[in-house]
Amino acid sequence: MPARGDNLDGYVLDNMEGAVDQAAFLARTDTPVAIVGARGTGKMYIARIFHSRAGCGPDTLVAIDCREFRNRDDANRRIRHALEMGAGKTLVFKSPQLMSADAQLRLARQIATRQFVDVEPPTYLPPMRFVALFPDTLARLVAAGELQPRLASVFAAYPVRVPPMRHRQQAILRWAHKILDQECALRNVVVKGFTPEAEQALREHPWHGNISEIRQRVVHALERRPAGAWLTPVELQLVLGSRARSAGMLSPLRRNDSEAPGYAPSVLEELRQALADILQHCIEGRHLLPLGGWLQDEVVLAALARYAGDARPAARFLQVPRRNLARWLPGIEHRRAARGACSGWVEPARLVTDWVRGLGQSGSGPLAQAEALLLELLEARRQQTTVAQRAQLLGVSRPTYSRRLLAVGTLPEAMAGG
Amino acid sequence: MDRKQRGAARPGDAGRVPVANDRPTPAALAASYAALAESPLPPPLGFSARLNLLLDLTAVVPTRIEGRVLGVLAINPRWKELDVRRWLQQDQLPPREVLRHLVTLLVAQLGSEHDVLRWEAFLIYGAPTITSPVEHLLYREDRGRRDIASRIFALLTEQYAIPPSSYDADLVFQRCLKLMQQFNIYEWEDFQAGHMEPFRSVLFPETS
Repeated sequence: MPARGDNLDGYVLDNMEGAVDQAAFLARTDTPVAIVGARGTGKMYIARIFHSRAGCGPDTLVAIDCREFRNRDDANRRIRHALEMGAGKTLVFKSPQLMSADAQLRLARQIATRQFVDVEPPTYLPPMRFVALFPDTLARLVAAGELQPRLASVFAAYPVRVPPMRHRQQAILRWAHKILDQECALRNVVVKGFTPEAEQALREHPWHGNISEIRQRVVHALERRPAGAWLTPVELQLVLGSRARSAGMLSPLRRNDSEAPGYAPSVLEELRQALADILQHCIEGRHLLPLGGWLQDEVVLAALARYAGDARPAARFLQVPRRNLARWLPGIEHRRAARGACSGWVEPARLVTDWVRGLGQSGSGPLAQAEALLLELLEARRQQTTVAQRAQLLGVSRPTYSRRLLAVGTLPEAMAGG
Repeated sequence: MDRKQRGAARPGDAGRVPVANDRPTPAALAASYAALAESPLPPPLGFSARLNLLLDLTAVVPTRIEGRVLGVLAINPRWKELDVRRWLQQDQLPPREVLRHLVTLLVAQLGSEHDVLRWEAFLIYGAPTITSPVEHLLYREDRGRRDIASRIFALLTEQYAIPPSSYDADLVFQRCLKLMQQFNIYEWEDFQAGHMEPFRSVLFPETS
């Protein structure tokens, strides 16, 4: 692998197209900072830059994940606690647009006035910095009715925009090599690097999942490849498109530098497409895999990963009793080999992890949402399959499949939660 | 033949300069204006946050937890505290003259390279509608990349004996920064011997 001068703790010196510089500049002020970027672009990394450039130690950065708030009172109580304990800290609000309107307005008022609400006599907040991470521009979130204008306003001074990977294609290889270095060091393994075909495929891939997706693919490739080998497009699960052949040394000169925003699918749309692909593959090949069961397995594993293996919050997030998780885990582990042996399942599994990580706490549970998604796809293939086959694909018996179908009236409602 | 109604737009008309017959009548204009005027204009999103950013940069008034409202009020005791609070916290714009004078006063603290009108527009509309007036300060932060560009520039002019009179240094430098990004060059060791010729042909096309 090429030797790089930067250390493993840092990130690639592509400067995030100015986001790093902007964060460093804003750190000199008391301005609440909005960091805007799609999933996996490195928003939290920019927040850490802002925090460290303000001269604060790493233990004083407090991430407040607004997806975890169960309701308005929970949000208000936890934010109040964070504000009271926030002296000298940087509070990073992840996805605050997911809070209730009341909680958003209350937070906006406290940041704008730098005073606690409902406290007499009026009391200033302790000195602290505010950062909020948003998945889209403030104007679009306000227009969509998700973000309250008052909360958007307090973070609207000079939003830092972290561009998606498709706008930073010149840096993809640097990121891939960097992440490979990091993951090899973590696992104490050595690989030779990416083959030229793998590098080409890395350049060609759209990277809707951004830097997180690069890491997921590199980790997956390392798990499948023996130490000391080269990584090919096969291990990275990347397809080398026809455009690859036309790219040459001077391709950077021909590249269109347009920053025009293009369509990028949501993770749920990508998951739907990946499930539809493997479903079609199963039906055409008459190889009826229990996809429904596997999907539930991945959702459970992703929920546990979201809470670093802590079963209590994972069960609450899945909306199931904690004892169910303990009961399910041996079976999930037992099926791991079968899931891992199916190359077509790698992409849906990766996307389930991404999807679960970004979900809020409200609405129907992720298990129900995932099953509703697969049921919808199965029912769209009624002409090609029998009920028995569809039941097998969902991983349930025929009577159970019929019962699930009876609940199909609630399907649109379940999907709306996604 | 169909007669076209006055003022009616047709598909595909977008971007065309209207000819005299296409123009809406004064009555139609008045009706459109009245419809627009019915909905109140929302406050400019982020005005207060940007005004506070400017105040932070100038550091001439206390911070927000040390009595900023009173600090701004001290600039002109004839202002009302409630008004100042609305400017600083509720996105309410001051009267135009007040805003101009306040921005002029504050921007003068930042240095002569700052433009009052640009700051005023930025405070009202924000980025990206108005390019940030501090953008040029950010580029200065990107020192590492500029150092590498300088070394490449010097290497090329020395290697190919290009006289200073034959190029516009500022233009060449900008081209160099852009080409470095396109060639994925962020560290000095990324620049290889094979890059010399493509860089020369782009940076100094007249000499190649």
